[in-house]
Amino acid sequence: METDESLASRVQQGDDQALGELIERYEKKLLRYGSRFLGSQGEDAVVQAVQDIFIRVYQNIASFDTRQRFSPWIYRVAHNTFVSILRQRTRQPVYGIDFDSFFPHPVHEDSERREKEHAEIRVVVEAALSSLSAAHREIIVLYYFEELSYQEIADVLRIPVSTVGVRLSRARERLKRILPESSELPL
Amino acid sequence: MTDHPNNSIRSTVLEKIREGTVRRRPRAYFVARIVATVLVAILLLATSGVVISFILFSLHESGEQFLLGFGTRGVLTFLTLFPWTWGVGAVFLIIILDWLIRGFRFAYRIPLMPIFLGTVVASVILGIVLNLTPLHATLLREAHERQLPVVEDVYGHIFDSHERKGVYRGSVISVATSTFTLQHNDWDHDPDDGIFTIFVSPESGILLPRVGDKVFVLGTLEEGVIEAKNIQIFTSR
Repeated sequence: METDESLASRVQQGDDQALGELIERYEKKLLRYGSRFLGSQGEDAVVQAVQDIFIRVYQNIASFDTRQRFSPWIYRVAHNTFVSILRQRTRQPVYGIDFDSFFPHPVHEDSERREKEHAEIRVVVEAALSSLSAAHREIIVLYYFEELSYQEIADVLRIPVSTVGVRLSRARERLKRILPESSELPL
Repeated sequence: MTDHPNNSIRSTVLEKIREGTVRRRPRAYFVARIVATVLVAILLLATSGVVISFILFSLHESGEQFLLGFGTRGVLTFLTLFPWTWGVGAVFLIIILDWLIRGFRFAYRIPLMPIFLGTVVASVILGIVLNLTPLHATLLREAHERQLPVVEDVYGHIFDSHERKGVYRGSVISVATSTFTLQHNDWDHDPDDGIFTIFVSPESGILLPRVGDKVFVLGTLEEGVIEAKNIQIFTSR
């Protein structure tokens, strides 16, 4: 199967059908990401946002470096689009000053724990997502639902990898406080 | 989220492209943006370097760091006289510079504090290097000789007198047994320009300066004579 990067390269050279292939590959993922991150904004808003994402991808495809992975790049475009929608609709800062990104932190991405956690967390957390702040909600969605690695999330959110770990840990802590004790979340 | 029939997102996007309502931005657009960002970053770094070099130059020329030798009162006076506006301006420029370079892949992977400290160190080094050049001395001279509008105002404040704080500065023009004469001129023709007689009590243990020395005198002015409580020589003859 042709890689995303190769398809992106074809779009750069003017092959618009290659964009159609990329849309097919990412549409469902972005709709899922958008519906969880945008929460109560409604299904139509999410569909419109995802459409805007693909238009932005097409407009800015020349800025994509085909030696890099396409997935974090398109998620970055999606992040910017969703944050922009939240800013317009809520009229509040979506991302404030993040003091966790000021200093280095130790990074520990435990893949074994991740495998064990994912399925259970997805079920339990789904309902509590809307109670989280946008920053915490997004990192939970990217890590547990979109299954991006720390490095990929760092590239999407443009923050240090160590900050991903700290923010995820704080989001888990917040979830612990929100969810009822009976939910037995493996956090 | 339900699946949308007929793959509507795909067809809508491709239709817009076919109609020509959506166009690809050329590579040159992104290259120009990167070049512009790099140029603005260099300009910001250079400006913060110039501002820091001006702070260093003004402290050196005014000799205000020697106020620290006057103890607590001197430290407080030094802090009051420090060109904070320029200092805050330099920090502001560095923060904008940091925000700008955070857009680059090499930068957003590093925590903010090391980037901030790195840009501060780079700006200070540039400031020190610029301070070694004749840039500010030339501007100062030009400002006085040609009365350049903005530059004269900026450089003129370097030599402000601080008699309201009990600190007098100037050049020693004559020395007697227990007095010396101090001349101050900051080219603004105001009352702080003039000649003062400084009395140094023999019991104080304060050493008299020599003719030509530039000094700070801590003391009180009474009946045209300043009784010195402390003296700091910041430029020897």
